[in-house]
Amino acid sequence: MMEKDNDFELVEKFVSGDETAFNLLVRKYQKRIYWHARQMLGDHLDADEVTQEVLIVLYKKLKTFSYKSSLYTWIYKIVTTRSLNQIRRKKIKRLVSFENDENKEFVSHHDIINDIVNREKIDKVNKALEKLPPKQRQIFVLRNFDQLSYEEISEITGKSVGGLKANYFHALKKVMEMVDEKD
Amino acid sequence: MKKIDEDILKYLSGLMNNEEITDFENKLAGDSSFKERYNQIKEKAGEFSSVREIELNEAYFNNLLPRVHNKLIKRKKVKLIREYALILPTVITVLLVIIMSILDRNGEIDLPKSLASEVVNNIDDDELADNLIKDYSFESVLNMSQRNGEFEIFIPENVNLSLNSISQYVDFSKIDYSQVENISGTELEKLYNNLSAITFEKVSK
Repeated sequence: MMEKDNDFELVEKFVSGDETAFNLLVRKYQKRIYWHARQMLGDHLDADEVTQEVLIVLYKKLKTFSYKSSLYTWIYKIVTTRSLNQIRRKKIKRLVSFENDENKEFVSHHDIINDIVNREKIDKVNKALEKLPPKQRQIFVLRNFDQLSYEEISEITGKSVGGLKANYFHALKKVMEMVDEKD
Repeated sequence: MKKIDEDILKYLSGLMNNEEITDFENKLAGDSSFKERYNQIKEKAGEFSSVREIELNEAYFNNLLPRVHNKLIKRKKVKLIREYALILPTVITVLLVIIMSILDRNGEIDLPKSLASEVVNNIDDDELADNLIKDYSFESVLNMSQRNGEFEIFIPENVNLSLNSISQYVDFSKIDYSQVENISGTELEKLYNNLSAITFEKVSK
């Protein structure tokens, strides 16, 4: 509740012309936005692109934000839609062979995870997530990484709670099977 | 996947109804091997969420906001350029039309009129007829013909007319020099230059 009230105050300040309020909002949400995009897209460069885009959308659209939902579910709605769009774009690029393995090398050189052990850990997670269909990945990421409730995910995705539970179950099952295969 | 694992995942996903949840939790409390398997799966699922705790390079986040602001500024500029890109051609077209219409007036209407009046005012009829025909071959100046009793002047193209051939057709006493006003700008300029040359020649003699 505190978070929501604080958001409201910051949005009000920004709308009345206080740019520093926007900076505070960015500082508050930038990591969540980045992580969600990173888990959805699997690499830093795409996550960076989406994160920047989301912040630009926030800057432009915050004035029209009506508080029908909380600010962070609204932000998640933007980041999750942008991430799905980026996945689609990447698929199209792969289909027409605009991307190849050299890009992967380029991406790993530009990562912001410096520790090798952690990078291996996240690579392992990404490989499992890559196997999931984008919509299942979206729900898995929102539930497992972002640790949102089904009600919050429902607000973000517009899907029923029952459908989300079933989707999460299937995603979790696939991920576990993949982990078991590797072990 | 084993039935037991599926049940655990169903429980973790929140897919069970109240009755199933009670049964599951009772089994979890009473069956140690089941509890062990439950913990294993929960731990594996937890490994995925633990990724959140991985340390990221803070410099990236410190630099993110300035980069976003730069992008916003660039986009504003591009937006402005795009807007101007639409307005500018329109403005240029309008300006060109205005300039062209002014030039057109000067070139096609005002200039020939002034030139025509100069020609008509400064050279009398006889002089015009005599000198033009005497000193200049009509191939480079004028071609004259009589149509419906009116005098028409236009620039000849490879036509060679001499005084004799012209006098056969033209009654100079009936020439209406106001027709000079109907000559186009380029034709008139050529005519005027030629007449000036004649006048100059005469004066210098």
